Amino acid sequence: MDINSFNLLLADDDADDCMFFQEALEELPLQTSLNTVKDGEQLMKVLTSNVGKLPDILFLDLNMPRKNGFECLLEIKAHKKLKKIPVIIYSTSLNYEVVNQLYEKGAYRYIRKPGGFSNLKKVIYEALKIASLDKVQKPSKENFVIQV
Amino acid sequence: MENTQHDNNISFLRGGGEMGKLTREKDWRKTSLGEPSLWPQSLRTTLNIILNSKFPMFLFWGKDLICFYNDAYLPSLGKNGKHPSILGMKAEEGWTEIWHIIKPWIDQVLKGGEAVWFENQLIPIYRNGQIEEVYWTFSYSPVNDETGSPSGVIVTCHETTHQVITLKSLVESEERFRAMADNIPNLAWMAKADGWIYWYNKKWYEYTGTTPEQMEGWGWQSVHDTALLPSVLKKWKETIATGEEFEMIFPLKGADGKFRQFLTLVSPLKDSEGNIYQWFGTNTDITNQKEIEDALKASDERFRDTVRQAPVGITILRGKDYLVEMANDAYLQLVNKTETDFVGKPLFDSLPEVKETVHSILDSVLNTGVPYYGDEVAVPINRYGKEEVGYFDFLYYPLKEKDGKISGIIVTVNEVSEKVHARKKIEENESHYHNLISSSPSAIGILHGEEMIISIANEAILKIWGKGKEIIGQSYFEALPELAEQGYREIFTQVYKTGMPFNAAETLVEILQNGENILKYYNFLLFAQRNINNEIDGIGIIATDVTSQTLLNKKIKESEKRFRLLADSMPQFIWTADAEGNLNYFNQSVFKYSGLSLERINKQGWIMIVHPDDRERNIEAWMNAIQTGKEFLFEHRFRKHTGEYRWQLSRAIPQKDEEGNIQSWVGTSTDIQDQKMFTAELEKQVQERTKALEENNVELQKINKELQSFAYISSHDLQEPLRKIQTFVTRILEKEINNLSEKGKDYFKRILIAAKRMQTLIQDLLAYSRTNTINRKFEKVDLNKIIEDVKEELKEELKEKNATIEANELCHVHIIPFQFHQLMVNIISNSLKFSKPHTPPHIKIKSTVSSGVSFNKEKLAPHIKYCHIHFSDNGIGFEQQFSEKIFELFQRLHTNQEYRGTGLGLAIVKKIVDNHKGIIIATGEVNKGANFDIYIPLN
Repeated sequence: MDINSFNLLLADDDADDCMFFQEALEELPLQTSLNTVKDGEQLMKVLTSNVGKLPDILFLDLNMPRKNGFECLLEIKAHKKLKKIPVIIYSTSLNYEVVNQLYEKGAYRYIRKPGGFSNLKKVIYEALKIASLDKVQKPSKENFVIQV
Repeated sequence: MENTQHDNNISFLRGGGEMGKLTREKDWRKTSLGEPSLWPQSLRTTLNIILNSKFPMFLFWGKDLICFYNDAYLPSLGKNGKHPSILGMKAEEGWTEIWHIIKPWIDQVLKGGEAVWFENQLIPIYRNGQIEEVYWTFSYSPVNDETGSPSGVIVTCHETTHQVITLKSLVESEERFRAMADNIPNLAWMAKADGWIYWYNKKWYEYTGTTPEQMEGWGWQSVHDTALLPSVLKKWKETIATGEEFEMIFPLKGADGKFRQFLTLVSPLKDSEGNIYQWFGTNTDITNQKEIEDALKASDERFRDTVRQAPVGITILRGKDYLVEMANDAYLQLVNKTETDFVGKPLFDSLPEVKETVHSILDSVLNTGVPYYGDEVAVPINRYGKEEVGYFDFLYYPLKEKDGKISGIIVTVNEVSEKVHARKKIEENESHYHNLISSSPSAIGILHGEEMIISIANEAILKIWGKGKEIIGQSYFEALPELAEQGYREIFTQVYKTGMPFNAAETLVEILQNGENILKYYNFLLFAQRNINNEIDGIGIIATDVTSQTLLNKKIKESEKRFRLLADSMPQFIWTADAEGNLNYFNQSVFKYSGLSLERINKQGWIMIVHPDDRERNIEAWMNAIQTGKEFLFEHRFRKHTGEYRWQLSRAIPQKDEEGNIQSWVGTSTDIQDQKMFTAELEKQVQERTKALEENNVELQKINKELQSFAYISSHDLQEPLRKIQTFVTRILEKEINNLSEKGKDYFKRILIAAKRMQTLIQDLLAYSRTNTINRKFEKVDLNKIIEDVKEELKEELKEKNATIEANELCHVHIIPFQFHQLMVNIISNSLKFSKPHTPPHIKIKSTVSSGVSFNKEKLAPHIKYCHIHFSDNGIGFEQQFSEKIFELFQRLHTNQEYRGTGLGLAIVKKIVDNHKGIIIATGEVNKGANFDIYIPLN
C-alpha cells in the first residue's frame, strides 16, 4: 500500500482529538484523506452502508458513547466483508489486560494517545509507515503496541 | 424286383425306406394320377418331403384324393390293417370308417386353403384286426399345385392314444381316490409339495363347517387352537423341508366351536425319482382315547402323588442292579439326596455305604420272593455331610410281574434313630445316675418311705450332716433330731404327701456336728421321689452351702443401703439401670424435682420426665449406649413439678465385672439450665455480631467497587483533559512561540512539567488500586518470561541510561502475572531512576527455592517452600534506617527536583508481595546500591 494514498477513517467522540489527528496529518508530508465518525453506532452504519468503498485503515477509539470501540471491533471482525479492514486502536488508557483482549480479537495495532503534539505526529506517522510496509500482516504480540 | 424302367422319371421317389420302395413299385397307371413321370412338380416335391420325413405324414392328392404315406406313419395303421393296400387308394375307399369325420376337414382345407388343427382327437380306426379307439393330434394343411390352388391335403399327425389313456386313467384313479377319501370316517386332505393344501375331503368340511375357499392353501390355521398353532406350523414346515412323515396330536375346532383332539398323520407321495410331488394327510378324532389316556395319567399321577407325599420313605428298586425307579420325598430326605441325584441310578452307586448291610437282604428277597422286615436295623449312612449310623424299620416287598417273575422290590422305610438313641440314652442315664449322685459336688440325699429312711447320701451331704456312712439305713429325723426341732419334719411330710417340691433360699440351719452347734446358710430343694407306678415313695434332698455368699450379700446390701443414703442426700439426680438399660433406682432428688412417686415413674416410665421434643433422641442415645457399652452423655430438659423444664446434662457410666461384662449403669443428671442460658445468650450475641460484620462486609465490597470505578475514572477520564492540556501547550510552544515572552515560554514549560507529574501520579495510583482487584488469577509462571516482557516495556529507558540487567536462571512461581509484571517494572524503574550519574546502571536478579526455615526469617512459615528473588543494583542506595519507610504510600527520600516520583512505586511493590503472601526486605547503603529480597510461596 502506498503511504501517500491512504484513505483513513477515525472513530472518536472527542472533537479535540479529532482536530489533533487532522492537524497532525496535515503537518505530515503525506497525501492522506481522513473521515471521522463520532460514535460506534455511526461507525458501523457508515461501514455497512458503504461496503463498496471501505477505509484503508480504521483508527478506533475505545471509550465512545452508544457503542464502544471493543464492541465495534468484534462486529467488524465477525463481518464477512468488513473483517479485512485493519483496525488501529486509538485510546487514552493502556491496560494490559484490555490490550491482550484486543490483540486476541484481531486488532491490527494499538496506539496510546500521547501527550504532546509532536509525539502524536510521530505515532501516527509510525503507524502509517508500518501499515504500508508490512501490508497489514497480523503483528507479533511484542510489536502490537506502537510506542514513541 | 425293382422296376427300373421309370428310373429316369421317378428320381423324386428315391429313398424313403419301405414306403419309398412301395411307392416306386406301385403301378400308378391304374390310378387317376397315371404314370409318375407325368406327375406334376408340386406332387413330386411334396412326396419327396413326405417320404424322407421321420414325422408321421399322410397325403391326399388329386380329385380322387389318392392316398400316400411315409414309414413314420406305419404304426398308426397297425398290423393287419390298411397297410399297404391303402397306398394309391381313393381316400373315400381307404378311410371308409372315418370318411364322415375327415371329409369335412379335407373339403374345408381344399376350399378355403386354411389348415385345420386337432389335439387328442378320438378317431377310431381299423387296425390290428379290429376297430381301435385311437387318439390323434394332427393337422390338415393344403398343398398347392403349379396354378396356386390346393390340389392335395397333407396330414401331419402323431398318435396320442397312450398319453390320453394314461391321463384318463389318472383322472379316474384320482376321482376314485377322492370318492374313497370322501367316505372314510377320518378327515383327509392333499397338499402340493410345498405344503399348499388344494383338497379336503367332505368330512373335513362337515366337521369344521368351513368352505373350500376358506381352507385353500394355508387357510386351515383358522380351525386350530391359536396357542398351539405355532408348534403345529413349525412341525409342518419342518416336515415339508425334510420330506419325512408327520405325526402329531392337536385339537381342531368343530363347526360347533368345540375343539376335539385329532391324531394327524401325513405321508409324502413320491415320483419314480424320489421327489415329493404331493402330501396326503389324515386327521383322526381321538378325543375319546385321549380322555381315557388323560384319566389314566391322572390316576397314575394321583397314585404317585400319594406315594410321593407319604410320610414313610418309599422307593422302588428294579433288577439285579437295584436301579432306583422312584423314590418319594420322605425317602430322599431320609438318605439326604435329591431326586435328580438318586432316581435312575443303581442304589449302591448313590449309597455305597449301605451295601454291606442291605445287599444280601435285597438279593434274598429278589431271589426267594419272601418279604423281609427289618426292625431297628443299624445302617451306616453318609448324609448331612457326615457319616453316621441310623436306625431303621423297613420292609422289602417283592414286586411281581403278571407272569409271577420278581422284577423288583418296593422298599418302605421308617427311621427310628431318634427313638433308639433316646432309649439308649435312658439306659446310659440309669447307670450314670448313681455315679452322678455320689460324685456330685452338690449335697444329695434320698430318703425312702414314710419313715424317711436314708437310702442314698453322697459325700457332700454326709459332710453337711457331719456324719459317716453308717447313717445310711437310719431314719432321717432320728439321725438328725436337731432338724426335727427346727420344724423340718412337717415340711418333709408335706412334700411326701402332696408331691409339691419345697425350695428354700439362704436359709439358716443349725446342725449338731461332733457335739457342736454349727449355724450355716443353705439353699435346698426337697422333691418327691416316685416309683414306677408314679406313686411317691421317698424324698430327694439337694442342698448347697451358701453361707459365705449369703454373708457377702448381706454386706452388699448394707453397702447399697449406704450408697442410697448418700445418693439421696445429693442435689444432683442419681439413677441406676440394669445391663439391659432398665432404670431401677432414682435418688430422692428425682422425686423431689419431678413431684412424681417411684410407683408413678415405674408405671409410666422415666421418659415422661423428659421434654417431649427431646424424648426420641434421648431414647436413641440411651439405646446406643446400652448396645455399645460406651459412656452415655446427653443434654435434655426435665420437667419440674411446677411445669417448668430445665436443661440437664446426663451422664451414665457402665459398671463392669472382672471379666469386663457390664453389670449395671450408674447415671447422674446435673442441672445446666443457667449455663445453657448463658451460652445461648452468648451465641445470640455472636450471631448479632456476625450479622453486623457481614453487613459491614457488604458495605465494604460496595465501597471497594466504587473505588475501582474511581480508579477507572482517574485512569481514563482524568488523563484525557490532562493529555489535552499537554497537547495544547505543545501546540502553542510550536506554533505561537514567537508571540511569547521568555517568561511566558517558561510558564508553559512549567505547565508541561506539572502536567507530566500529574500524569505519572494518576498512572501510579491506578496501578496501586489495581493491586486490590478481586480478580486475582494465580498461574504458574516463568520469571524469566516476565523479565523479558519488562525489558521490552522499558526498552527506551534502558537504552537511554545504557543500563544492563543480569538475570540468571529464574524459577517458576505461582503468581498473579500482571501484578508481578508491575512489581518488576517498579523495582527496575526504581533502580534506573536512582542510578549514579555517569555510572551505567547494572541490575542483578537471582532466585533460589528452599523451605522457609532455611532463610532464617521469622515471618516465613518454616515448612513451606519459598522462591527467594534477589535484586541488587549499583545505584545511589539509601540509608538503612529508611528500609521500611520506603515501602509506605507517598513516602519519598528525595525532592521532586532531585528525583521525580510519586512515592507510590515501592508501595505498589509491597502491596503486590503482600497479595502473594510473601515478604519483601530492602537493604541499602548510601552510594553502594540497593538490595531487595522478595520471598514468595512457591505454590
